[in-house]
Amino acid sequence: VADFDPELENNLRDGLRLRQPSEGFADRLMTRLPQHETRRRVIAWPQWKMAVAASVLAAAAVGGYAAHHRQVEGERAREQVLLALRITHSTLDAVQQKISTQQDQTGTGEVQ
Amino acid sequence: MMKRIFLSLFLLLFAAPAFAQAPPFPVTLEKQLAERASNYTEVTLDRRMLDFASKFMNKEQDAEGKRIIEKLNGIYVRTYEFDKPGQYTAADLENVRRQFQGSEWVPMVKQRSKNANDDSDIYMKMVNGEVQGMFILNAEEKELNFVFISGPIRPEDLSDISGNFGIPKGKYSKEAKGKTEKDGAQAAKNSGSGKSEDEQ
Repeated sequence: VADFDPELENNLRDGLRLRQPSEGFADRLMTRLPQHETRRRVIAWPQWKMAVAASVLAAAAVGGYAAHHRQVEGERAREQVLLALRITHSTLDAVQQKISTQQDQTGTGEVQ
Repeated sequence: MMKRIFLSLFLLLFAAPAFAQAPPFPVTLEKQLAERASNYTEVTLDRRMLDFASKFMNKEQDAEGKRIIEKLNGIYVRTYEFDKPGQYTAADLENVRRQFQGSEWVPMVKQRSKNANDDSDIYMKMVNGEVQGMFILNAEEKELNFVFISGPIRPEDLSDISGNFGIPKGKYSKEAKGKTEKDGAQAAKNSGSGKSEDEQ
Protein backbone atom coordinates (compact mmCIF):
# COMPACT_ATOMS: atom_id res chain seq x y z
CA VAL A 1 0.00 0.00 0.00
CA ALA A 2 2.89 2.30 0.82
CA ASP A 3 4.37 1.95 -2.67
CA PHE A 4 1.22 3.29 -4.41
CA ASP A 5 2.09 6.01 -6.95
CA PRO A 6 0.23 9.23 -6.01
CA GLU A 7 0.34 10.48 -9.64
CA LEU A 8 -1.29 7.36 -10.97
CA GLU A 9 -3.91 7.64 -8.30
CA ASN A 10 -4.69 11.19 -9.34
CA ASN A 11 -4.88 10.23 -13.00
CA LEU A 12 -7.27 7.39 -12.25
CA ARG A 13 -9.47 9.54 -10.07
CA ASP A 14 -9.56 12.19 -12.72
CA GLY A 15 -10.31 9.68 -15.47
CA LEU A 16 -13.09 7.94 -13.58
CA ARG A 17 -14.80 11.10 -12.44
CA LEU A 18 -18.45 11.34 -13.33
CA ARG A 19 -18.94 13.79 -16.19
CA GLN A 20 -22.09 15.09 -17.81
CA PRO A 21 -22.30 14.41 -21.57
CA SER A 22 -22.37 17.32 -23.90
CA GLU A 23 -25.74 18.64 -24.98
CA GLY A 24 -27.47 16.57 -27.65
CA PHE A 25 -25.26 13.54 -27.03
CA ALA A 26 -28.15 11.19 -26.50
CA ASP A 27 -29.87 12.30 -29.70
CA ARG A 28 -26.69 11.98 -31.72
CA LEU A 29 -26.08 8.55 -30.32
CA MET A 30 -29.59 7.35 -31.07
CA THR A 31 -29.49 8.59 -34.65
CA ARG A 32 -26.27 6.71 -35.25
CA LEU A 33 -27.61 3.44 -33.93
CA PRO A 34 -29.12 1.09 -36.62
CA GLN A 35 -32.33 1.25 -34.68
CA HIS A 36 -34.97 0.31 -37.37
CA GLU A 37 -32.99 -2.57 -38.74
CA THR A 38 -32.56 -4.09 -35.32
CA ARG A 39 -36.21 -3.65 -34.60
CA ARG A 40 -37.14 -5.31 -37.90
CA ARG A 41 -34.84 -8.21 -37.19
CA VAL A 42 -36.20 -8.71 -33.74
CA ILE A 43 -39.81 -8.63 -34.88
CA ALA A 44 -39.84 -9.78 -38.53
CA TRP A 45 -37.69 -12.90 -38.33
CA PRO A 46 -39.69 -14.69 -35.66
CA GLN A 47 -42.92 -13.89 -37.52
CA TRP A 48 -41.56 -15.42 -40.70
CA LYS A 49 -40.26 -18.42 -38.82
CA MET A 50 -43.50 -18.79 -36.96
CA ALA A 51 -45.44 -18.68 -40.20
CA VAL A 52 -43.24 -21.40 -41.68
CA ALA A 53 -43.44 -23.47 -38.52
CA ALA A 54 -47.21 -23.06 -38.41
CA SER A 55 -47.48 -24.06 -42.07
CA VAL A 56 -45.29 -27.11 -41.52
CA LEU A 57 -47.31 -28.09 -38.46
CA ALA A 58 -50.59 -27.55 -40.29
CA ALA A 59 -49.37 -29.58 -43.28
CA ALA A 60 -48.18 -32.33 -40.95
CA ALA A 61 -51.50 -32.32 -39.10
CA VAL A 62 -53.52 -32.43 -42.34
CA GLY A 63 -51.23 -35.11 -43.75
CA GLY A 64 -51.45 -37.11 -40.54
CA TYR A 65 -55.22 -36.86 -40.47
CA ALA A 66 -55.46 -37.84 -44.15
CA ALA A 67 -53.20 -40.84 -43.56
CA HIS A 68 -55.22 -41.86 -40.52
CA HIS A 69 -58.48 -41.41 -42.42
CA ARG A 70 -57.13 -43.48 -45.31
CA GLN A 71 -56.02 -46.20 -42.90
CA VAL A 72 -59.47 -46.29 -41.28
CA GLU A 73 -61.19 -46.38 -44.68
CA GLY A 74 -58.82 -49.09 -45.87
CA GLU A 75 -59.49 -51.22 -42.81
CA ARG A 76 -63.22 -50.75 -43.37
CA ALA A 77 -62.89 -51.79 -47.02
CA ARG A 78 -60.87 -54.83 -45.95
CA GLU A 79 -63.59 -55.79 -43.45
CA GLN A 80 -66.20 -55.44 -46.20
CA VAL A 81 -64.22 -57.74 -48.49
CA LEU A 82 -63.84 -60.34 -45.74
CA LEU A 83 -67.55 -60.10 -44.91
CA ALA A 84 -68.47 -60.49 -48.60
CA LEU A 85 -66.22 -63.54 -48.94
CA ARG A 86 -67.60 -65.03 -45.74
CA ILE A 87 -71.21 -64.61 -46.91
CA THR A 88 -70.35 -65.95 -50.38
CA HIS A 89 -68.75 -68.98 -48.84
CA SER A 90 -71.64 -69.65 -46.46
CA THR A 91 -74.21 -69.18 -49.27
CA LEU A 92 -72.37 -71.67 -51.47
CA ASP A 93 -72.14 -73.97 -48.49
CA ALA A 94 -75.90 -73.73 -47.89
CA VAL A 95 -76.66 -74.52 -51.55
CA GLN A 96 -74.22 -77.44 -51.45
CA GLN A 97 -75.92 -78.78 -48.33
CA LYS A 98 -79.34 -78.53 -49.97
CA ILE A 99 -78.09 -80.43 -53.00
CA SER A 100 -76.50 -83.09 -50.82
CA THR A 101 -79.69 -83.48 -48.78
CA GLN A 102 -81.79 -83.76 -51.91
CA GLN A 103 -79.39 -86.26 -53.45
CA ASP A 104 -79.56 -88.33 -50.26
CA GLN A 105 -83.36 -88.21 -50.33
CA THR A 106 -83.81 -89.08 -54.01
CA GLY A 107 -80.74 -91.27 -54.27
CA THR A 108 -80.40 -90.18 -57.87
CA GLY A 109 -77.84 -87.44 -57.60
CA GLU A 110 -80.08 -85.16 -59.63
CA VAL A 111 -81.18 -81.71 -58.68
CA GLN A 112 -84.57 -80.59 -59.89
CA MET B 1 -59.54 -25.76 -78.69
CA MET B 2 -61.84 -24.52 -75.92
CA LYS B 3 -64.66 -26.56 -77.44
CA ARG B 4 -62.53 -29.69 -77.15
CA ILE B 5 -61.70 -28.96 -73.54
CA PHE B 6 -65.37 -28.42 -72.69
CA LEU B 7 -66.31 -31.61 -74.51
CA SER B 8 -63.65 -33.58 -72.66
CA LEU B 9 -64.81 -32.16 -69.35
CA PHE B 10 -68.41 -32.94 -70.19
CA LEU B 11 -67.53 -36.52 -71.07
CA LEU B 12 -65.45 -36.87 -67.94
CA LEU B 13 -68.18 -35.54 -65.68
CA PHE B 14 -71.28 -37.04 -67.20
CA ALA B 15 -70.40 -39.84 -69.56
CA ALA B 16 -67.77 -41.66 -67.47
CA PRO B 17 -70.15 -42.67 -64.66
CA ALA B 18 -72.40 -44.21 -67.29
CA PHE B 19 -69.67 -46.75 -68.02
CA ALA B 20 -69.38 -47.71 -64.35
CA GLN B 21 -70.94 -51.06 -63.51
CA ALA B 22 -74.59 -50.70 -62.58
CA PRO B 23 -75.82 -52.44 -59.41
CA PRO B 24 -76.59 -56.02 -60.39
CA PHE B 25 -79.77 -56.41 -58.36
CA PRO B 26 -83.06 -54.51 -58.91
CA VAL B 27 -82.82 -51.45 -56.66
CA THR B 28 -86.55 -51.22 -55.95
CA LEU B 29 -86.69 -54.85 -54.91
CA GLU B 30 -83.65 -54.39 -52.69
CA LYS B 31 -85.41 -51.56 -50.87
CA GLN B 32 -88.62 -53.56 -50.48
CA LEU B 33 -86.78 -56.60 -49.13
CA ALA B 34 -84.75 -54.44 -46.76
CA GLU B 35 -87.98 -52.92 -45.40
CA ARG B 36 -89.48 -56.35 -44.79
CA ALA B 37 -86.32 -57.82 -43.28
CA SER B 38 -85.48 -57.85 -39.60
CA ASN B 39 -81.78 -57.85 -40.51
CA TYR B 40 -80.10 -57.24 -43.79
CA THR B 41 -76.57 -56.88 -45.12
CA GLU B 42 -75.64 -55.20 -48.36
CA VAL B 43 -72.04 -55.23 -49.51
CA THR B 44 -71.15 -53.48 -52.76
CA LEU B 45 -67.51 -53.57 -53.78
CA ASP B 46 -66.60 -52.44 -57.26
CA ARG B 47 -63.17 -52.76 -58.87
CA ARG B 48 -61.97 -49.49 -57.34
CA MET B 49 -62.98 -50.56 -53.82
CA LEU B 50 -61.45 -54.00 -54.24
CA ASP B 51 -58.17 -52.42 -55.35
CA PHE B 52 -58.25 -50.09 -52.38
CA ALA B 53 -59.08 -52.88 -49.91
CA SER B 54 -56.37 -55.17 -51.27
CA LYS B 55 -53.76 -52.59 -50.24
CA PHE B 56 -54.78 -53.17 -46.64
CA MET B 57 -54.94 -56.96 -46.83
CA ASN B 58 -51.42 -57.56 -45.64
CA LYS B 59 -52.05 -60.03 -42.85
CA GLU B 60 -51.04 -63.62 -43.34
CA GLN B 61 -54.62 -64.87 -43.22
CA ASP B 62 -55.65 -62.33 -45.90
CA ALA B 63 -53.37 -63.81 -48.56
CA GLU B 64 -55.92 -66.10 -50.22
CA GLY B 65 -58.67 -63.51 -50.14
CA LYS B 66 -56.32 -60.95 -51.64
CA ARG B 67 -55.33 -63.36 -54.40
CA ILE B 68 -58.99 -63.95 -55.25
CA ILE B 69 -60.12 -60.32 -55.28
CA GLU B 70 -57.14 -59.10 -57.31
CA LYS B 71 -58.68 -60.69 -60.40
CA LEU B 72 -62.24 -59.55 -59.76
CA ASN B 73 -64.24 -56.61 -61.06
CA GLY B 74 -66.73 -56.55 -58.22
CA ILE B 75 -68.45 -58.39 -55.39
CA TYR B 76 -72.09 -57.69 -54.60
CA VAL B 77 -73.71 -59.41 -51.64
CA ARG B 78 -77.23 -59.08 -50.23
CA THR B 79 -78.58 -61.04 -47.29
CA TYR B 80 -82.02 -60.60 -45.74
CA GLU B 81 -83.31 -62.24 -42.58
CA PHE B 82 -87.02 -62.18 -41.88
CA ASP B 83 -89.01 -62.65 -38.68
CA LYS B 84 -91.61 -64.82 -40.38
CA PRO B 85 -91.95 -66.83 -43.61
CA GLY B 86 -93.60 -65.46 -46.73
CA GLN B 87 -91.79 -62.15 -46.86
CA TYR B 88 -90.73 -62.64 -50.46
CA THR B 89 -92.39 -64.18 -53.48
CA ALA B 90 -91.41 -66.35 -56.41
CA ALA B 91 -91.80 -63.22 -58.57
CA ASP B 92 -89.22 -61.40 -56.42
CA LEU B 93 -86.71 -64.18 -57.02
CA GLU B 94 -87.51 -64.24 -60.72
CA ASN B 95 -86.92 -60.49 -60.81
CA VAL B 96 -83.40 -61.06 -59.49
CA ARG B 97 -82.70 -64.04 -61.76
CA ARG B 98 -83.72 -61.98 -64.77
CA GLN B 99 -80.54 -59.92 -64.34
CA PHE B 100 -78.47 -63.02 -65.00
CA GLN B 101 -80.07 -64.34 -68.12
CA GLY B 102 -78.51 -64.43 -71.53
CA SER B 103 -76.41 -66.76 -73.59
CA GLU B 104 -73.34 -66.17 -71.42
CA TRP B 105 -75.01 -67.25 -68.20
CA VAL B 106 -74.93 -70.99 -67.57
CA PRO B 107 -77.06 -72.43 -64.77
CA MET B 108 -75.00 -74.94 -62.78
CA VAL B 109 -77.54 -75.41 -60.03
CA LYS B 110 -81.22 -74.68 -60.41
CA GLN B 111 -83.33 -75.92 -57.56
CA ARG B 112 -86.99 -74.97 -57.33
CA SER B 113 -89.46 -75.45 -54.50
CA LYS B 114 -93.23 -75.18 -54.34
CA ASN B 115 -93.43 -71.79 -52.59
CA ALA B 116 -90.03 -70.61 -53.78
CA ASN B 117 -88.90 -70.71 -50.17
CA ASP B 118 -86.24 -73.33 -50.74
CA ASP B 119 -84.92 -72.30 -54.16
CA SER B 120 -81.24 -72.31 -55.04
CA ASP B 121 -79.34 -71.15 -58.09
CA ILE B 122 -75.74 -71.06 -59.11
CA TYR B 123 -75.09 -69.48 -62.49
CA MET B 124 -71.69 -69.08 -64.09
CA LYS B 125 -70.90 -66.49 -66.71
CA MET B 126 -68.88 -68.15 -69.44
CA VAL B 127 -66.99 -65.98 -71.92
CA ASN B 128 -64.87 -67.81 -74.49
CA GLY B 129 -64.76 -70.85 -72.26
CA GLU B 130 -63.58 -68.83 -69.26
CA VAL B 131 -65.60 -68.19 -66.12
CA GLN B 132 -66.14 -64.44 -65.88
CA GLY B 133 -68.74 -64.25 -63.17
CA MET B 134 -70.84 -66.16 -60.69
CA PHE B 135 -74.32 -65.59 -59.33
CA ILE B 136 -75.61 -67.46 -56.30
CA LEU B 137 -79.13 -67.33 -54.96
CA ASN B 138 -80.18 -69.17 -51.84
CA ALA B 139 -83.70 -68.87 -50.53
CA GLU B 140 -84.88 -70.24 -47.24
CA GLU B 141 -88.11 -69.73 -45.34
CA LYS B 142 -86.84 -66.80 -43.36
CA GLU B 143 -83.67 -65.94 -45.20
CA LEU B 144 -82.66 -64.81 -48.64
CA ASN B 145 -79.12 -64.47 -50.01
CA PHE B 146 -77.88 -63.15 -53.35
CA VAL B 147 -74.26 -63.02 -54.35
CA PHE B 148 -72.87 -61.74 -57.63
CA ILE B 149 -69.17 -61.92 -58.27
CA SER B 150 -67.96 -60.21 -61.43
CA GLY B 151 -64.71 -61.48 -62.85
CA PRO B 152 -62.82 -64.75 -63.10
CA ILE B 153 -63.87 -66.97 -60.18
CA ARG B 154 -64.88 -70.54 -59.63
CA PRO B 155 -66.57 -72.07 -56.58
CA GLU B 156 -63.42 -74.04 -55.80
CA ASP B 157 -61.46 -70.77 -55.52
CA LEU B 158 -63.43 -70.21 -52.38
CA SER B 159 -62.16 -73.49 -50.93
CA ASP B 160 -58.81 -71.78 -50.47
CA ILE B 161 -60.26 -69.31 -48.04
CA SER B 162 -61.71 -72.03 -45.78
CA GLY B 163 -60.18 -71.71 -42.38
CA ASN B 164 -59.67 -67.98 -42.85
CA PHE B 165 -61.88 -65.01 -41.93
CA GLY B 166 -63.87 -67.23 -39.57
CA ILE B 167 -64.85 -69.58 -42.41
CA PRO B 168 -64.71 -73.18 -41.25
CA LYS B 169 -62.73 -75.64 -43.32
CA GLY B 170 -65.20 -77.74 -45.19
CA LYS B 171 -67.56 -78.15 -48.05
CA TYR B 172 -65.63 -76.59 -50.88
CA SER B 173 -62.62 -78.72 -50.21
CA LYS B 174 -60.19 -80.14 -52.72
CA GLU B 175 -62.18 -83.42 -52.82
CA ALA B 176 -65.23 -81.57 -54.09
CA LYS B 177 -63.12 -79.69 -56.59
CA GLY B 178 -62.98 -82.48 -59.15
CA LYS B 179 -66.72 -82.84 -59.19
CA THR B 180 -67.31 -79.09 -59.51
CA GLU B 181 -64.86 -78.84 -62.38
CA LYS B 182 -66.64 -81.71 -64.10
CA ASP B 183 -69.99 -80.01 -63.55
CA GLY B 184 -68.62 -76.72 -64.84
CA ALA B 185 -67.22 -78.33 -67.95
CA GLN B 186 -70.50 -80.13 -68.60
CA ALA B 187 -72.47 -76.95 -67.98
CA ALA B 188 -70.26 -75.03 -70.39
CA LYS B 189 -70.74 -77.78 -72.94
CA ASN B 190 -74.49 -77.54 -72.52
CA SER B 191 -74.56 -73.76 -72.63
CA GLY B 192 -75.25 -73.81 -76.35
CA SER B 193 -78.50 -75.65 -75.76
CA GLY B 194 -79.32 -73.40 -72.81
CA LYS B 195 -79.64 -76.32 -70.42
CA SER B 196 -77.34 -77.53 -67.72
CA GLU B 197 -76.75 -81.00 -66.42
CA ASP B 198 -78.83 -80.12 -63.39
CA GLU B 199 -81.82 -79.17 -65.44
CA GLN B 200 -81.84 -82.30 -67.55
